[in-house]
Order: sequence, then structure tokens, then C-alpha cells
Amino acid sequence: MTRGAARMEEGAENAVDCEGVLDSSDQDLMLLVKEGDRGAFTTLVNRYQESLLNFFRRMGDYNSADDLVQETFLRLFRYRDRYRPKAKLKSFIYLLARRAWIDHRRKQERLQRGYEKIAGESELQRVADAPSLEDAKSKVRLALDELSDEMRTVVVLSVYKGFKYREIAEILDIPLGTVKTRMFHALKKLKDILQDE
Amino acid sequence: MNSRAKEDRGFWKKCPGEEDLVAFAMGETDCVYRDAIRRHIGLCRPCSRLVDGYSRTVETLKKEEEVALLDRDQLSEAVADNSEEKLPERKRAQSRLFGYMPGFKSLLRVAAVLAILLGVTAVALKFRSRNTAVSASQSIGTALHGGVDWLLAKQRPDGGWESEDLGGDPRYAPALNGLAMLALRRSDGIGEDLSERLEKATEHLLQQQSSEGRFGPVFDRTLYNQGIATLALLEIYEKTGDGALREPISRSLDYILAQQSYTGGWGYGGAQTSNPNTSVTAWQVQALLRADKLGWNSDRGSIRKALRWMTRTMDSKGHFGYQAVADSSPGNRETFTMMGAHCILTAQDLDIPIEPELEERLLQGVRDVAGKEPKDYYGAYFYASTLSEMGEEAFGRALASLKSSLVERQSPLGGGWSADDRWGSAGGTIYSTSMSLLALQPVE
Repeated sequence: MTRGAARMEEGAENAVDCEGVLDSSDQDLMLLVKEGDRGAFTTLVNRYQESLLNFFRRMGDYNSADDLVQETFLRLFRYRDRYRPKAKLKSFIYLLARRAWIDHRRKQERLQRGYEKIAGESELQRVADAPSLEDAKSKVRLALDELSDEMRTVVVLSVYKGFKYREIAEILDIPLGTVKTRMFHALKKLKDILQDE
Repeated sequence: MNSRAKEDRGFWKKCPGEEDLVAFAMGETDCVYRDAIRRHIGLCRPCSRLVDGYSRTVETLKKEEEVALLDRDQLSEAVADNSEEKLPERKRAQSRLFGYMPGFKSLLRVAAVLAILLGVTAVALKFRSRNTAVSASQSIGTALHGGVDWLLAKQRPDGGWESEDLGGDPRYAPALNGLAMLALRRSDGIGEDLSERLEKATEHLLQQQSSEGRFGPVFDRTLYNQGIATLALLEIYEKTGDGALREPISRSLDYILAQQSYTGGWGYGGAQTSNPNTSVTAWQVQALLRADKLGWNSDRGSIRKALRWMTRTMDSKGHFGYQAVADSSPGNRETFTMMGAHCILTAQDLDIPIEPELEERLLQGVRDVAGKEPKDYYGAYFYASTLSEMGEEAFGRALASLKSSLVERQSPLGGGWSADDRWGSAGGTIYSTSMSLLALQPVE
């Protein structure tokens, strides 16, 4: 599938989600997955993997994005019994994605502290997940990297994944007001960075 | 002129906050505010520039190209293969069975349930609708797993739960952490081993204890922190037998006893400052009863005095009051009745009885309120505890209905429960999730 077509598909999902057509198709697939249907699971993987890959890359994990995508889908399958049809599958998937990302970050930090003890370095460095030279050229990515994890998550879910504030509040399990505040601070900072360039 | 129109007019003159302008730029305002802001920025150049600036920023962000996944099919297959590998043996066998006869899955499911029914005939005769009980217990099990995972996900590296981040009042931190610990302690054995997590939580809680044994700050709700935190430590001690906990628990119990009023109950802020009430008293009594059960050299006289105070708020129909007979509204009355009943029934298990006449009234009160739905998670916990203690035969249906209702309220996304009752602003989602888990768990 071409990049444009992939974007259209994701855009169509976001738009048609409002009418519930593709979303109910997601639900049908997920109900089959709950029965153990592997074909339905593969279809879901196909549908969401690219979007998730970009989510993790935008969250700053360039080198681990593939692993994180795989981890998210493994969790989707493992926790399939927890999915309730009344919830959007997309929200459920991104909730799992964010948890996988947090766990990955914590593991990295523990490893990094371990390296510090050995190497005697005093500063935490995200060396393992530094972007490649090519990626580092993107000013947007550099700007997103300047945000705190909390602010970046809200921006990525809203701007790139099309979630409404209310949905983001559910995914992140934070009050709606907090989403609004984080979005404001994030966009303010991004505006300052990007318009200065 | 209605209030909406007034708000509209307000935006003519006053610039909206920048947060609202960002929300407008993101399409997150409702139609009334959207129209008002739109009219405003038509006239206010600074606000118009701000909105343009944010909109351009969002457009710049969106121009960032998505990365195409080159080996899409390979990844899909790899993920699907890995997931299949990681299925537990039991489920793998099941999916093979269903896989052979995909067109008859529903019939096979029914057949499997009937096989369970036949295989446990004696138990099946006890319950009328075994299918419902099996699926209900599976739902509760799933809900418990989800809730535990939620609590574990929210636990910080220092072992505590940040009450303010989760919508609660930070002054209640010891109580809220205590509730989370109780919920996890009673869930231990459902899934992964929680020992390490509970150990960290205990360390964190102990750091909040003062030298005089008090948990948390001194304020008018101190004793909620005290009773709940003490109960949590006692249950951890019961599980682990860790001798290092004896001293802090003893200090905590001493503090509780020192705050008991001369009438026997406990009130907001301690014995010197307020009248006792059932809500605060119940938590102290639970802590003292647990200590007594564990062989602590607790003062049974204090426990008896407290129970006498509680029964003095009981009316002729067995309903408990808040500070006196019949002084609470419906909704509260039911919760207080279950709180009082829970304490008294627990005490009876420890051979601390009450007079037969009072016992009869208490049972009448419980029977009266059993069929009513509790108004909040707080009430749900005491309802579930009391109905469980009263026995399945008498109250099985009411208990099942309560638990089913709680399962339905669990967030479909995250496994927690929303803090959407009247105590939500004080306790946040730690409170709502922990109390729901405690209500769903079997009583020990």
C-alpha cells in the first residue's frame, strides 16, 4: 500500500469512526479475536500497525518502534477478554500502546542506570533510542522531542491520531481539564520552537 | 436572557483564555463557545493572531510525513505467530477445537458449559442458573484482573500512588494508598505475585507515619487516614508475618485508641474536637478488630465501647445513623447500616457479641436495605462485605446483582473505575477502583 493510500485509510477510519461503520467492523474483528480467530487478529494487525509505528516514532522511540508495535499487538491478544464492544477499539489499542511505551521507557531507564553504575556517567542519555542522522533532520521531530512525555503524548494522540480530548482523557486516564491544559502548553511551546526557525 | 446567552455576550468584551483559543483551534469547543470565540476573533486582532499561530503550528505538525511500513505482511505474520505461541496451553487446545468446526462454535460453547454442569451436579443443584453463575464469576474474574492491572500501572516507582494525579485530595494520601494496598493484598493469588509491589507500597506508607503513630497530616479527616492505613498494614502483616511491622502498627493502634471519644466512637479530627460519627468509627473498629484477630494485645474494652456507641445510632428498624438515631438521609442511611452491620458481624466472629435484641434489629435492617443499590463505591464495599458475611442463601441474589452492576461500571478501556460518585473529588480513581475491587473480592 502506498504512503498516501495508507494515510487515506487512516483518515477514512478517523472520519468514518464518527458514523460507526469502520469502527463496528473493528468491533466485529475484535469479537472474533476474543474467540481465538487468528485471521481476524492478522487483519487488525494489518490495519493498525503502520499507525502504531508512527505513533511510537513520534513519541521518540525510533529504533524500538517495531518492537513496541509487536508488543502492543501481543498485549491486545493477551488482554482481548478485557475489550468491551461499547468502547472504540482504536482507543483500546492506543491505551495498550501507551502502556507498552511506558514500560519500555522504565526498562530503558533501569538499564541506563545500570550502565551509569558501570561507566560512572552522571547524566541519563537516551543513546539507545537516538534518532538516526536522517531522522534528526526533521524539525518537527526535534520540536516534539523538546516536549515532556506527557505533553508529547497528548499532541500525538490529538494531532496525528485524531482522538478528541475526551477520548484522550479516557486513554490516559486523566481529567479532561488536564488534557486541555497539556495541549495548550504543548502547542505553545511547539509554536515558539517552530515559528522561531 | 438565559445563562448561555450571557456567556456569549461575555466573550464580546473579554478575551478568552489562551487555553480556550487552543481548544478552539483544535475544534474542541462546543457550538456555543465556538460561535462566541469566532465572533470575538473577528473583532480582536491579538486573539485572531494567536489562533492563526496555533492553527499554523498544527498544520506544520501535520505536514510531517508518515513512515510507510515496507514489510507490512511480514510484520503481520510475525506478530500473529508470536501471539499464537504465547497462548496458554488451556486456551490453545480450546482454539484448536473451535478451529476444526468453525461453523458450530456457539453449539460447542453451550456443550462445554453443559459438560461443566453435568460434571458438578451437586453444586449445580444448589444454584438455579449455573450458566449465569459461571459467566458471572468469569466476568468478575476478568474485572478483578483489569482492576489489579490498573492499580499496578498507576503505582509509582517509590511504591505509592499519587492521589492528586488521580483526581484525589492529597491530604488523603495515606488512606488512598491504604485502600490500594488492601485491594492488592486481597487480590494476591489471582494473577502475578504481588509481594514485591506490596512491599514497596508498605515502605512508602510507613514513610508517612509520624513518630506518634499518626498517618498523614493533621486535619479534620485525619482519622480516615489512620483507620485505613492501619488496617492495610495489619493485613500486610497477616500475610507476611514481617516482625518489622509490629512497632509501627503498635504505634498506629495506640494513636487510634488515644483518639477515641469518651462516648466510644471516633469523629473528625480526634476525640477532643468533634462528635463521633459512624463513617470514621467504622474504619477504626475494623482496624482494632483485625489487630485483635491477629493476637495483638488490643483493648477489647475499647472495641466493645465503640460497638455500643454504634448500636446507639440504630433505630427500631435496624438502620444505623450518622451521629445519632435516624439522623441521616436515605442513601446514607443504607451505607451506615451496612457499615455498622459489617463491624458487628466481624466482632461476633471474634466472640465479641451484642445483645440478642440488638442483633435481631440489625438483621432486620440489613434485610431491609439489602435489595437497594448503594449510592457510591464506599457503600458498595460495605454492602458487599455485609451481604457476604450474612450468607449466600439469604443474600446471594442481592450480592450477585451488586457485583454485576460494579463490573458493568468498570471502564471499558483501562480496567479502573471512574471516580464519578460524590466522594470522587476526595478519593479520585484510586478510591473508586480500590473500593470496587474490595467489593468484588470474596470476604476473608
